[in-house]
Amino acid sequence: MNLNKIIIYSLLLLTYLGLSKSLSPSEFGISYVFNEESLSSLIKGAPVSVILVDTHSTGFIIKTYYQKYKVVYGFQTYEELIVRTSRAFTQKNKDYIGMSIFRRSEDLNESFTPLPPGSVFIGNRDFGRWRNTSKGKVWSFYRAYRYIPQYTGLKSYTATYNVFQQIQKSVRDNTPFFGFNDEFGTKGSITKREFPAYFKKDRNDQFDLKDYFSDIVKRNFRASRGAQ
Amino acid sequence: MNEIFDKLLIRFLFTVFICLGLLFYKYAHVLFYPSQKKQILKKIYPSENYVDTLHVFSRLIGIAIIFSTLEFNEYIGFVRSVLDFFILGTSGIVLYLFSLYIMDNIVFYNFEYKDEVLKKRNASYGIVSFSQSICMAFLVRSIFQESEHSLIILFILWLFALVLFGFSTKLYGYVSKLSFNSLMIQKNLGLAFSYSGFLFGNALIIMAAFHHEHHDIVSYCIQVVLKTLLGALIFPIFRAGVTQVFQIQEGPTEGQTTEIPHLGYGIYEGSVFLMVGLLTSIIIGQIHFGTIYPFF
Repeated sequence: MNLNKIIIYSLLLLTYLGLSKSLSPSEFGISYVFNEESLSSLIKGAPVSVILVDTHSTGFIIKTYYQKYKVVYGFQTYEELIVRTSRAFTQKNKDYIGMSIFRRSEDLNESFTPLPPGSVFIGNRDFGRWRNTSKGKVWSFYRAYRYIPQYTGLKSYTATYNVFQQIQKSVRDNTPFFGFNDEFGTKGSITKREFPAYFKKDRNDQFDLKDYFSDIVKRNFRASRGAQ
Repeated sequence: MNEIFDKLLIRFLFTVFICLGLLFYKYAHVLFYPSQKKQILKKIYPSENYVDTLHVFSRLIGIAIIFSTLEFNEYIGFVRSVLDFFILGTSGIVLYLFSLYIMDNIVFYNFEYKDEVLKKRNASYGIVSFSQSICMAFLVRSIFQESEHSLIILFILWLFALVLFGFSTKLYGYVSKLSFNSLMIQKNLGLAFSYSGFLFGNALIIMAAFHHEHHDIVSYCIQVVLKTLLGALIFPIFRAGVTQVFQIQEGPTEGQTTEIPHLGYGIYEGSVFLMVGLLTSIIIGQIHFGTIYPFF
């Protein structure tokens, strides 16, 4: 094989890869989140809480990673956002399904510590107030913002003042907070109830050779025997 | 009984229409080759000039291939179905004939039908012309199916297919050691078989590239280009694989200038091009990865 043919083949290969990459439909309308900073630049407005609700990878050898977020705003309805992410970012957040992985407060303070969803709204006097109950001080949203607990999945969760204090401490220390009884995160009971889509998919889709051949036998022999 | 008679009558009418299509070709032939007006209009004696027989009948086979994709669906309304059949049938023949005219000018730009077929009776020309006609017919048939009865999409896809096929025929010099022009003048049958296989292989790859779902014409055309490029990448791998596995000594044997070694080599090349074209069409058209979007 002469050099000219190798050069032409290499050029063709590069052209194919370049065109495929730039013209692929998967590249249109989907943002790439490389790290926390790129997530921050993607999300506009404040106050806002970004909840990681699902994660997915495509590809057999070279994988592409996707994450789905529920972006809950303070003064408007939520939106769902699907982004392509780096492998490192996906791995970093794999235990934080159902948790807020980014938030921006009204004074534009940003935080990336994984916290319970909608924690940016807890303790914010514009959205609710502390009520004294038998459990102690409990956060209650105003009637005008009653949609926030529904959007964030907090409707069955009682945010006590201790929770609020722990959230503040976790932000300062930059340590994830999964709830006092681990209600949040990929293994959390509230996550499983409020964000079930992630758990519905069979993530351990193992190929069983025995099942495969028994299916062939069933389709080819038992069906025809039944027809007779 | 009346209903059965009606159906039979409709079938007869369509048979007549298809025969009219063939008659249409007879006069189109006069338009494309005006200097041979008398030759086509008079009686044809197949045994007199087999090259001309091959040339003319390859086009008739092509028209039959295009007609084979047409359908008459009475349930959408009789008049509507008849008009659909007539319009699509006519546009199919017209596009096919224009394709042949353009491809003749691309492939045989150094050769004249009158000289090669009527005077020299060049069998090599006849075989290549036959292959070209059949390939174009299958391509037009394929884009007919992809256009889903839209004449505008049909026209766009036809132009697109013609550009791809015309361009691909120009790549023969890169993949074969045979010289098209010089061997064609020598009426070399090896060249005819090699080039025919090459044309069939290209047509198969382009047809596979056109065969996929389309939601909008731009992304569809992009996918076609990408698949064609992929074909150009896979084709040499299969060919190299065949050559290596069977330890094939490529190129005509040195010192032998007779037609026999070229014939064997041409048959080998043609067969490999056809086989590799088929295998490449599997790779680019029949491997499905499902949706590329995440299934959230």
